[in-house]
This record gives sequence, structure tokens and C-alpha cells, in this order.
Amino acid sequence: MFVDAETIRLLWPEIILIAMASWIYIAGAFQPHRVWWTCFSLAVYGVVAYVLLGTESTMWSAETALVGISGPLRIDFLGFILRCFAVLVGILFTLIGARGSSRQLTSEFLATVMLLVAGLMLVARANDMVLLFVSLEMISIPTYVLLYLGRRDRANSEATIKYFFLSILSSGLFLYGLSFLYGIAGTTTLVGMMGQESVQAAAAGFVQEGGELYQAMAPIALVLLMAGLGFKIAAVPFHFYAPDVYQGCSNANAGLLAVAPKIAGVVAILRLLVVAMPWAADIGWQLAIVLAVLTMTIGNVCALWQTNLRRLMAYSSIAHAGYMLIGISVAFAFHEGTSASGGIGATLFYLLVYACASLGTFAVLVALGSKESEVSGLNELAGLAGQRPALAAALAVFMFSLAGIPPLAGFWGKLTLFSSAVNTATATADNASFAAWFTLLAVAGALNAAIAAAYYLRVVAKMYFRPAQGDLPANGGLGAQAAVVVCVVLVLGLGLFPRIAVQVTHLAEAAVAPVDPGSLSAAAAPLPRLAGDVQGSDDASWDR
Amino acid sequence: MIFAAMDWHAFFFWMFALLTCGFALAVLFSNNVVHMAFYLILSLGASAGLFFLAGAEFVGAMQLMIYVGGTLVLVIFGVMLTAQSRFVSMETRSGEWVVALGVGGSLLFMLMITAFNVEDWRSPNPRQGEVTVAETQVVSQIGLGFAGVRVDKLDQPDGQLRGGMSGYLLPFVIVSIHLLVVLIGAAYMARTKRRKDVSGGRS
Amino acid sequence: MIEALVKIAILLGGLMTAAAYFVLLERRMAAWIQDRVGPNRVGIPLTKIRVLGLGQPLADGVKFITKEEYTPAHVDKRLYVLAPIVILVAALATFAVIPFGSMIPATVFGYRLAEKPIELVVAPGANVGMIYVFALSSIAVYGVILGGWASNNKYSFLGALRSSAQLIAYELPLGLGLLGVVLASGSMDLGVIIGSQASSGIWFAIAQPLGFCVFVVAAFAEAARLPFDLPECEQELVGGYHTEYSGIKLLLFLVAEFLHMIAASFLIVILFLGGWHFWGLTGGSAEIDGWGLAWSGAPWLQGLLRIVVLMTKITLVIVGFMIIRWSWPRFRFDQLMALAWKVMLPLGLINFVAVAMMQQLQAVFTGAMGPSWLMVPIAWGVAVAAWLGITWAAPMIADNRPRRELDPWEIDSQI
Repeated sequence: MFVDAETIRLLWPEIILIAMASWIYIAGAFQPHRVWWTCFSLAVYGVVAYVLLGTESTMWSAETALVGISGPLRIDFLGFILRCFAVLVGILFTLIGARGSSRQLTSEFLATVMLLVAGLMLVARANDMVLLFVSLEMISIPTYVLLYLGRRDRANSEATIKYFFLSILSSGLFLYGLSFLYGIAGTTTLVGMMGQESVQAAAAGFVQEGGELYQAMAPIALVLLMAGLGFKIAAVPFHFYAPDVYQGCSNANAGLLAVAPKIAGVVAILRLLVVAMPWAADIGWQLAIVLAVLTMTIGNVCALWQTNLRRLMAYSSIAHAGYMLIGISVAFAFHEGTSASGGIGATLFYLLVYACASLGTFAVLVALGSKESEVSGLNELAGLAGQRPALAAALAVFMFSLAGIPPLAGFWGKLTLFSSAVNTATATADNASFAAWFTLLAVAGALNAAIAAAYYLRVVAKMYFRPAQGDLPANGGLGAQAAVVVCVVLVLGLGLFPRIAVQVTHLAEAAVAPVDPGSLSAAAAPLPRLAGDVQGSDDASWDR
Repeated sequence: MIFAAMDWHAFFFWMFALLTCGFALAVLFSNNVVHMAFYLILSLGASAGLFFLAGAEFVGAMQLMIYVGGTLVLVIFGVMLTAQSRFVSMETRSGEWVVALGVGGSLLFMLMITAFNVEDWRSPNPRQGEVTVAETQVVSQIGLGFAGVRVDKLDQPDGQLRGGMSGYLLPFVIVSIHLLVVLIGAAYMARTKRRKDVSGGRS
Repeated sequence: MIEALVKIAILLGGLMTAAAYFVLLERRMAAWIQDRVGPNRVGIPLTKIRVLGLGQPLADGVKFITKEEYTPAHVDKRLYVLAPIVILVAALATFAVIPFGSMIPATVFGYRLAEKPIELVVAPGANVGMIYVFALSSIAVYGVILGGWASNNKYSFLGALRSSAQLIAYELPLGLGLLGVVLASGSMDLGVIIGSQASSGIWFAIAQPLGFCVFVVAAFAEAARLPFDLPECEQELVGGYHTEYSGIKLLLFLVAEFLHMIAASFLIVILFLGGWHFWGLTGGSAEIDGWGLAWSGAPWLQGLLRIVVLMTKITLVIVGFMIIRWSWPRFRFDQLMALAWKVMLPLGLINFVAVAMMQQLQAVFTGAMGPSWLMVPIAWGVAVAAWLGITWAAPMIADNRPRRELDPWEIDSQI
């Protein structure tokens, strides 16, 4: 009845992060030494990673994707890989951002990032609407503070305020949607939602008494939740804040905005909309397709004539949200009876690939700037290849990956996404509208990839084929350079050996979707110990 | 007896509902920011009345305490402190009206569709007398729910299923972390910007 | 429904009369403390009979109503009119959940008044009683803020700002002082809280002296009485938020202020001073049993006695309010804030934690919750220790110099 020891044990990584963040807040007042605190927080992340891998990797094997529930948490492979990824994101941000923040604020910056990472890890685990919501807020609220700590001028304040208000609006929409969802399901647990008899009635075609309640409410719940989460992943028509906010804030913070809310938003969409609301899938896939096409197209087309780097990356992040929506629509369609699956796995894989490349890009920008002056204009990169060949090469790698040029990671990401859409189209050839829609989706995605290549290659061309206009300070610190190296390794690794990662994400997909309500009582059983089953090497391999 | 004959429940429902909607519209059509904030207070207060009427005393009291008594005091405080004469009066341009009407109208449309699609809600409940309003003695139950004990689920026979009903302890704790971060942020925004150098040599 | 309406009528009439006569009492007390005579002339109208000046409230009322109701040209008309109404409505609505007695029997001279004994509270069994009181007490601040802003006058506005800061600051210690009581009695229903004190015979002022101190100080501040009357201090702000008001609107503000004081005394008495309970006089059970006597009038006598005990306590507390008002100087604003955040808040937290631990220990060792005599000496020990500790830890509140003299840093807006 209480949150039992099992739940607490499963939350050790988060508890360590939160306790250490509080400690940094307190002790930072007495010991404002930047390098010391940076090393300290890196050590904390190391400990967290150790705990995470040590306690959890033993639970998974390559074949069995164990699903368990402990209190408000859900234990599955998706949660595991996302938690690992969250720790990685935390390490990268610690490296990227520590130098940029002012001396007195370093400890606050690091601790706030730590809380944000804890929020990300909780989102990956949440099996309860309330927990999911507060975890999402645990990403948003530290983000406001981080944006504010970043720089103190008018543009930054404006960006922060803009992000703050729109984020609150999106949280409001999300909550409103949750209230409808609760009205339909009568429970706050996501798995319980699938298991409720009333909801099963809704899924079974709305035949029983009271069934029309769900039929009537499903669309509005879905639309509101999609709107709330659409803000987080910057999908059209909720994208309009992104360019202004990215432009206004510092490079490190823009990187944060491009990655953290997106991971959380995509995970929440998968967990809440795709998996827990199978009875809303018939509206869901149509909505997702429309949003995907709009988001991709608007993002890519608007990015074409941007001259500010952060603005360009903002539109690029919008476009990538569109690609991810392709996978989400495929996942929705899976509930509608198509035999092809792979949507969730493809989305996750793309998410990882996008996050690595995007973080790497911002890490390069931070490394190129200094505390006094930040790189922001596209023209400032002209001739970079001559001055800083290594950083230019890294940036080129990230740009190629984002554009989806083989053999880099982005190519495989796009390939899995588009092929999942094509699979859905072909597998349901008997349903003409289905096939047509998903074929159209795949074509739109391919066209957009071509458009996107134009502006990514423009950046590369600027660096390699234009004469230098001035000297960039390139004084972003060792941390940023280390982050660049890590990201390059990840992007190249995922590009050269995509098989492992694709397998891992498909395993996660298999774990996340026990659609059969009959298996739920088994799922609700306490977590069995699989201590003897140590095959964690496969899962952890992508993390290195 | 005229008091006994009247349907007081319906009377109060209509009164609070009309007050809520009326003041919400007043927020919309008012140009003065302070007036807007004040109408918002009245609108939210009237919706608290609706909660009381539905038997959800706790929610109603919380609505009064948190929104009316807490949040909006700060809103009014902020508005009055920052509202210079040029910001007090807000003229809404016609373009903004069109956008707002589009967004709000579509939301209203969806809500209407939802409400009218539910068969049971189209006609009054035939067994109106049997409807009981919500159980009101819930304060300690809610408190225990936050502490991790769902009193309403104690009689769940399946011991394994109880694990998934473990109250809201974790969210409750996480909210306290939110407050910590908010306090840190607020402290940085509001801190006194001062420096030790009284002679002003470095400025 | 009729029962509730009758109760509302009694309550409204009683409160308005009480407010009027407390004004007279206050003036007489002020005169007594300042060695004057005070208003003693007005007696029965149209005659020459003076009854200790008991006609004064009536004369005051007539004066307020017949005065010219002047609205200055520079005010925000709508809010200027609404502000006094808001403050009065909020002040009156608070009394919906506050009991003004225990209960009276259902039958009188064999005639059945009601199904069961009538509880003397407008909304009986309100599970959320205290939350509701808190909610409404924070609504009262709107009257002050809006009145101050709508007056379009610098002094009024300053008064409004001070008022909102003060009320927000002191709501926390108020709530913390209350939490100890709620924890010990296990309910937010004011009737149950009285019942818990009556059945054990230990008033919470005895069982939780620290909580009592914190609550009383915070209640003074919430009622904006001297020494906490910064929102309306006559010497600096010329009356603060009601400078621009006159006639009946001013009357509404003044009445609401008195109602706040009355509500604060009700809460102090109910939460900490045992409500209608007095040892050996009123009986300990929440029901009226007529002391177990066979005489049919006994329940009536007991019910009336409880009302009398409650009212006497409240009057005494109000007299205490008035004596303090006329014998204490006003705080400076920074002292006011320091008192709230650096003294009252820690003390309230200490009290809360101490009460929680004591209750738990008691539950472990005796298996029963609620107040008990065993805990009283411990509670007083905690109170003394906490008070000494706070005095040692926060010398600033005893230091009367302004902060900029203690701490000469220059403010630089560029950092």
C-alpha cells in the first residue's frame, strides 16, 4: 500500500541525483570553485550510471523484455535505455555548460542540470498520470532557471519569459487533457488504464452501456494531450516559440532546449498516447500524420533562409520533431490492426540519433565561442576549416548526420522511420486509405530530407569553401571539446554499427506495448528477480 | 413554504454558473488589466461555489485558497506594481481577436461536441432523487493519499494489485523538488545586486 | 433551510451589533488608558437620559449614513465601489463555519424544533472548516488592495502594498500554528477541535504554548491591529487604503476591520482556549447531556451556559486586543517582516515538529492520540527552549537600527 522498499530501490539513481543536487546548492555557497564542482557532478553522474547499470542491466536479457510494475513506476526496457541516455545527456551538459555560466553560478547551474536529468529519468519510468505530469514539470522548471542563469541581457530575458509562459500554457493544456483522460479511465495509472473494464469496453467498440462516454471524450483528450506535448517537442502548430527562444538564449541552453524537452515529450507521447490510449488510435494516427507532414515541411522550408545559427537549429529541431511524428503515427496505426510494427522502435532510434547530433552541434558552437562572445551568425563560420580543422570536421559530421547522409547515424534513423511507414502502407494494401496515407507520408518525408540537405550542406559549404572573415575565439573550454568528441564517437558509432542500436530500440518497443489486457495481472505482479540472467552487455554497448 | 418549494440546488447552480461565465466574459471584454484580474477573481470564486455545490468541499476550499486567495493576490500585486499608465489599458487589435476567436472557438466547439455526444447527458437523469452528491468527509483521506496510503483501495482483495495503487507519495515529494528549484530561481531573480565596494571605484 | 436562515439572521444581527458596541468599548478603553473620559453623552434618543453613552453606536451609524457620500474624481469608479463590499462579504462569510456555541436541544416545552439538536454553526460538519476560513481570510486582502489601488492616491497605494505583503507573510505562521492543533485533534472541523479539548479537558493553549504564541501574534497581524497596523497607520499614511473613502463605504471598511478582529478572537478561543468548554461548568462531551440530570431544562441550561462561556472568552480576548492596541508602539516595516520570517516561521515549524513527535510518542506508548497531561510539561519545555534559541539566533530583531547601518553595502543595479 505504501510506496514499498522495492520502489525506493528502483529509484536509487534519481534519489542520488536529487540529494547531490541539494548538496551542491548548499555547499556551492561556501565553495564557489568551478572546476571542483564540475568534477564533482561528473563523479555523481558516474556513480549514478554505475548504480543504474549495476542494478538494472541484470534484469534484461536480449530475448525477454521484462515488464513489471512497482508502485507508480513501470519497469521496462524503454525506461532503462532512456534513463541511461538521460545520464549521458547530463554528462554532456555538464561538460558543455559549466564554463559558460558565470563563476558564482556554476554550482547552481550544475545542480539544476542534475535535477533536470532526474526529471528525465522519472519521465522514462512514469506509470502514473500524476507522476508523469510532475516529472515533465521537473524538466520544465529547471529549464526556466537554466535559461535565466545563462546570460543576463534583454534578449535572454525575453526568450526566457517567452518560453516560460508558453511552457506553462502547454502544461495547462496537458493537464486539461489528463483530466479528460482520468474521466474516461477512472484511474491514474497508465497500465491500469489499459486494464480497466470500462476502458476495455471502449476499446471493444463502444458497445456496452456508457461506452459512448469514451467515444465522445477520446478525441478531445487526445487533442489536448497532443497539444500539450506538441509544445514540448516543438511540433507545428505549437512550434512558433522555438526560433525566437533559441535565438535569444545562449548556445548551451539552446542545446538543452533542443534535446531535453524533446526526449521527454516523445517518451510521454509514446507512453501516454500510443500505449495507454489504444482506443483513441483511430483519431491518433490521422492527427499524427497531419502534424508530421506540416511539421517537417514548415520546419525545413523556414530553415532554408536562416542566417542565425541558433534560429537555423531551431527550425531544424522542428523538422526533426516532424520526422519523429512519422514513427508515432505508424505506432498509432499499429493499434488499428496493421500487421507491421516498428514505429516506436524507429522513433526511439531517431530520437537518440537526433539528440547526439544536435547536442554535438551546440557543443561545437560553444567550443568555438568564449564567455564574452558567442558564435551566432552563420557567416561567422566562414573559413572555419582553415582555422579550426578538427572542430569544423566535427561540425560537418553532425550536419551530415542531421541531413541523413550515409553512412552516418542520421541516415539509418531516417531509413528506419521511412521504412516503417512504407511497411505500414504495404502491409495494409487491402485498406486503400491507409496505404495511401502512409505512402504519402513516406514520400513527404523523403522530399523533406532532400530540402533539409540544402541548408545543412550550406553550413558545411560555408566552413570549407568560403574565406575566413575573422578569427573566432574558440575558447569554449576543454569540457565542450570533450563533449564534441563524445558526440562524434556516438554519431559515427551509431552510423557504422546501427544494428545493435536498432535491435535495442526494437526490444524496447516489444517491452512497451503489452496491449493484451489479459497479461496485465501478470504484469502487475511484483518484479521477479532475474539475477542469474546477466546479459547486459548488449544493452549497454550503445552507451559507450 | 416558499423556501421549501424552491429547487435551491438548481437555483444556486444557475447562479454560480452564470456568475462564472459572466465574469469570464468580463475578463475578455475589459481593457483595464486590474479590472481583468479582479473579474478573474470573481469568476474563479464562483467556480469554487460550483465545487461546493457538487459536494466537493475540499476542492472548492482549495480553489478559494490557492487560486483566489493565493495566486491571484500575487497577480494583482504584480499587475499593480508593474502597470504603468500605458500598460493599464490594453487595446486588443482586431487581428488578435480573430486569432483568439479561432483558437477559443475551436476548443469550445470540441467541448460542445464532446458534451453532446454523450447520450446520458442529453436528458435529465430520471432518477434525480437518488443521486447522491460526493462524499464530503474526505480531507483525511486525501491527506493519507498524499502520504502514500489510498484509503479507498484498502479493501482491494488482490494483494498484488495494491502495489499499483500506492497513493501519491512520489509526486508529492517531486513537487517539493519543484519548489526548491523555483526558490533558487526566484532568489536569483530577486537578489539584491550589490557589491562591497562602497567608494564606487570599480563602477 | 429555514434553520440555516435563522442561524444566518442571528449571526448577522449579532455580529453587526457586536461590531458597533465594540467600537464604543474600544473608545472607552482608549480613553481609560489615556486617562480621559471617552464618549459618555449619547443615551436614549429624544430624551435626556444618558446610559453610559450606550447610544453612541446608533449616533455613529446615523452619522455615517447621512454624511455626503463623496467619490473623488480621480478614482477608478468600479473598483472603488466594489472594494468595501468585497472586504465586508469576505469577513462575514468567514463566520459560516465558525461555531457560536455548542448546540441547543431539539425540543422546547414539548414543541419539536428540529429532528436533532441544533448545532450553533451555519454550516455544521464542514469537514474543511479551517481551510475555508483560511481561504476567506486571504480573500479579505483584495478589499484592501483594490481599495488602495482604486483610490489613485500614493498613500492609499502604499497602504495596500504593505497590507498584501504583511498578510501573505503572516499567513504562514498562522497556518503553522494551526497545524499543530489540527494534528493533535485530528480534524479541520472547528466543532471537532473544540470537542477534543473539551473531552480531555486540556486546552491547546496549555498543551501547545508555542503554537498559541505564534498563532496569536499572526492573528494580530492578519487582523491588522496595532502593533501591526501598518496598512492604515494614521501618522504615516493618513489612514492608508481608506484615505479616500467617506460615508457608508468607509463604514463598511471599518465594520469589516472589526469583524476581522472578532473572527480572529473566535479562532483563538476555539482553537486554543477550549471554545465553549470550562472545567466543571459545561460538561465535557460534545453532545449536550444536561450533566446527566433528569430535569428537562438541564440541556437548555447547559447549551446556554456554553454560549455564555464562549462569548465571555471572546469578549475577554477582544479586550486583550484593545489593551494591546493602546499600549504598544507600531513596528517598523522591516521589523515586521523580520518578525514574520525569522521568528514566527521557525517557531511555528518547531511547534509543528514537536507536536507531531509528541503525538507519535503518545500513540506508541499509550495507544491514544489527542491532548494529554503528560505532554504538557514537555511542550512548555520545548516552548521555552525554542524561544531562548530564537532570541539567541536572531539578535537582529532586537536591534533597532535600520539594516543599511548594520550592513553598509552599496546597491548596484548593473550586476
